[in-house]
Amino acid sequence: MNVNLLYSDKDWVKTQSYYDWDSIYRDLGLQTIVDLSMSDLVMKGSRIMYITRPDKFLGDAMGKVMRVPLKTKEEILYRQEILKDCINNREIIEELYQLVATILDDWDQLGRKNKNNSGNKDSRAGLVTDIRVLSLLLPGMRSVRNLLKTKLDKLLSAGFQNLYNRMEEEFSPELEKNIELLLENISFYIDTLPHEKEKNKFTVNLPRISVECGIYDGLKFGDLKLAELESKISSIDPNGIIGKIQGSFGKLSNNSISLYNNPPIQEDVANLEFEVVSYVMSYCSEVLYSLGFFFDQLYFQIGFYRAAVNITRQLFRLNTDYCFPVVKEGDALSYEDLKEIVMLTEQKKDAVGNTGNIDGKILTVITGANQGGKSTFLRSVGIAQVMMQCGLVVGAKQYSSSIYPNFFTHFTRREDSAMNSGRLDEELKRMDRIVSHVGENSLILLNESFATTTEKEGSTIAYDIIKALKEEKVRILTVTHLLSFAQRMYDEVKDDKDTDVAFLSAEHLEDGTRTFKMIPHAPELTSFGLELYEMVLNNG
Amino acid sequence: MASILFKGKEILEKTGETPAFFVDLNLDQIIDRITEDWGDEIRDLFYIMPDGRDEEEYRRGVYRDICKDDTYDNLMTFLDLIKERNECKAKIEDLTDHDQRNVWYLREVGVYFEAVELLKSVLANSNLKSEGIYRLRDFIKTYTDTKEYIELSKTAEKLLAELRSFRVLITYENGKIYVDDGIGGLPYEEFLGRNFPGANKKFRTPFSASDELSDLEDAVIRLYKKSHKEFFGKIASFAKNKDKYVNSEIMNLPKEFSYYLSFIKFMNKMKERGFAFCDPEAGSEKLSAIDMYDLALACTNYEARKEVVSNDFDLRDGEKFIVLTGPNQGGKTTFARSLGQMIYFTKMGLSVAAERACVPYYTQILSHFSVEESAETGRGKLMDELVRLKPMMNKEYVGAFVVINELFTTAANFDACEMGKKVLDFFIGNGCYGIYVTHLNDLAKSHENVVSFRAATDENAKQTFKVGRENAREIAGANTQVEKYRLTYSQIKERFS
Repeated sequence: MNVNLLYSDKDWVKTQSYYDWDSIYRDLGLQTIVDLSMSDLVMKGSRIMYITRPDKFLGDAMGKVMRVPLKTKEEILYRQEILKDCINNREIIEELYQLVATILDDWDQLGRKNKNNSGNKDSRAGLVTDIRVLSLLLPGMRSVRNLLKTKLDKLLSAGFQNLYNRMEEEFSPELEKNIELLLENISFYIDTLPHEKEKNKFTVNLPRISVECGIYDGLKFGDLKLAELESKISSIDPNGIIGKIQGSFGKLSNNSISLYNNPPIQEDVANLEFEVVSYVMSYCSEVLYSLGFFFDQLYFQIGFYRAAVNITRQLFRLNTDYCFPVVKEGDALSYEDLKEIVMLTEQKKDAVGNTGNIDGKILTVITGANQGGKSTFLRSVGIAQVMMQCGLVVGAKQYSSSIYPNFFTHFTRREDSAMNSGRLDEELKRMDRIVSHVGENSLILLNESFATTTEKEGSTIAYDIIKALKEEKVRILTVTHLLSFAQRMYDEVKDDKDTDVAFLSAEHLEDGTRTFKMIPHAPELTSFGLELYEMVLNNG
Repeated sequence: MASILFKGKEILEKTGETPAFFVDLNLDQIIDRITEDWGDEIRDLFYIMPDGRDEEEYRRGVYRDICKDDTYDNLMTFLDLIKERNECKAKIEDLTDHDQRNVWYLREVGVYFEAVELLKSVLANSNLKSEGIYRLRDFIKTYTDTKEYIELSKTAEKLLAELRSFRVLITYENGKIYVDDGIGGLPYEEFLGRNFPGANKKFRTPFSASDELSDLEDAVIRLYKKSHKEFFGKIASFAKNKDKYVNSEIMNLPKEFSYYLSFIKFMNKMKERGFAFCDPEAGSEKLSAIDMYDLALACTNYEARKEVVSNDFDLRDGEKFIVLTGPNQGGKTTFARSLGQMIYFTKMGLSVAAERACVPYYTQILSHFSVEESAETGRGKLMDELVRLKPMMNKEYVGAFVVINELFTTAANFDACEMGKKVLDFFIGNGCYGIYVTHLNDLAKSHENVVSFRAATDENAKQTFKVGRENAREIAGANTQVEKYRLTYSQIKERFS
């Protein structure tokens, strides 16, 4: 039975993640977002009382889901709708999460993990566990269903509505009844001790088993079939009845064999009982697997949404606007007050928000002074894109963009930027891998790429690669200090009114003050050094 | 008898002594791997070289047939069935209960007939056209058409069917077991099947671990037999025919099939690991190969996760002997070995370790490898080499392929060169072909029928383990870093096209 809260048509499986997720994760600092998702706020009115202890499972769920991009607008809307339900009904989601957690805890108590470790499914203990787990998960499933049923008027998304309907359909009352009957038939196997009903009056649970078989090689049993099976409660009198039974079965009759005083046959019968119960339980293996899978998935998927809700709560704490991003066709990208929330979280001070529109620009070249906010802007786009592509909210007043499942980051890390042919080699190698994997709907963020060689060489390399990729409709946002490259690009398109290339630059006011905002601007031919020179000498 | 290995009749006289070149070419290591799960008897078959060109072609025909369609898989099943039959027979020896023995005997006979019928249907495939398979097909047809065969197989089939039709109903309740004839109604199976659909549910017998009857089985069968005395009488009289049904020639077939099957199984395993094999063009005019590699090295390098270098080469008009020179540890010996192996497997009628290969017919394989770690004095070693060389330089061995690895290393340079020339002159004069690995560059120009090959080095004088004609086009110089990663403008455009 599928949960389908992450996708409308499938459950969570480890599917194709972003090609080089590790780089994306590191370059954009996404660990911070995962950390945010682990804690909720406890409020009193509008006051934050405290932040809850991090729930690692939530971070784990967020980290795993985040690395697999959604690929269509419908998929994103599907999650957004469910997330809205969760934001509006935090208590219900909390209750559901706790209920599933309790059931999974009980399952752990039954030795779920041990069983996985030993892997010995044939053992009697394993069989008994299976029976007990089925007896736990079946009513557990009912509780979840009942909870959902009472809240259906509040959980309006297709995801929750369909989940409830599927639970109704796939676990019909008839199926439940049959499973219960089957569990009743094999109850003798786990109910092995006498019960004292009244004083000195005992009952025992004993089976009646009828097996049909053929005669195979060497007269051995083969092709076994189960003709009849039931568990019967019988009374026994500890003061004598056993003795009487034994007496009456003492002889071998014409067509029967007595087990009395015959331990080897008793052992054979015990082995046969085990096979009978295993066989019957094998008919429930799909149900058992399906229920187990269902609870694991439900816990994981609800965990993801709790984590997603936590992120919105944390953004609230950081006094930042958030919105549900809008998916658009045709290399769209527009944003209003877009903030780099990782840096915001880390530095705990208000960050500059960027507003702009580069819809339809295949290539965006970002230049400007050091420390001007270029990389911050580039990261804010990357973070928003990843969050959008997993159904989350984005740290902006408004954000709309196209979907890029083939998303890559190629950042030159500070410590890498020493002039060194080995570094260039490493950079080219990463670029080679990216080029091998770009295809339709690709987006690459380049941050000071090819700065590990001379300006001239680096510019040539950058120009060649970016030009070729642009012609293949690979969307690129590049922050660069390679001015020959930027200038060459600019000269090519400056007279073209419909150009698909945008040039952004860090804004600085006439008095030289830097605003850390990105504005459309021809490539900067001055560096921060000159600016500083001007500032000091002309104003001084 | 229809042998699929030998065209002539003197099968029994052939013994599997290790041919002299086996160890030099590391063929012993390869054959050990091919036959490691098949036993010494099969290994020895690889030591028997076919008797002349006709027999080589005879084997090649059979081998190609076995590689066709699903013949290989079916013959593996045939082998399994014969093995099962032998196991049944062995079990009977261990048992004392007559009825149990008789039922096992019934099984033994049944499996045998199943095997023969399978073989018959495999051979009926009209795609199989080799002489060896034709002969075998005729033999099987004659055998299975005999009256005795038909009668025995029918009786066995009938008795087995009767045994299979028996159903025993065992009911367990309150410490007692009741035994009856099965009545057919299975209410609980119906309940399960109706309400819990899903295939492959297996109700296993708990008593399958041992061929001995468990106490429960024994007790149940005792009761059951009382009401089925007639059947047990019938199988007792059937079992009196003991062993009459077996044809000794059929029983000899698994061994001959194993020669081909063991090789194919090994080859398939190596193919899965990414190593190429091909059916060589045997009897071609000139020797050549594409991506030829050393199979023994491939086995060990695969385990050590090391790469195996492969080589392309081709000989042209008049080129009879390759003289191979080059740096130490540069892949010269490996090249010589892989060439020898290629010729061996071609002669054996099997596939070779290369992407493509053309191999002329050679009468023999002769080899001479210097023993490097000899504790003997220089003179002793030279003497030893000459002594081993003498029987190879025999006028009888016209048309042989000769693999020589480093002769006369302990002699003075001039002497060694002169002796080497004489050796080459003799073999070429005697119509032989071959490869001569040496550090003496002068030998490369010593004879008009000699072609010079060299183990290549890269621009840093490092070994590449690649072997080819000397003066061959040098590998292009170092590319720029950008070109190396295929990141120039035109390269990227090309990658997208």
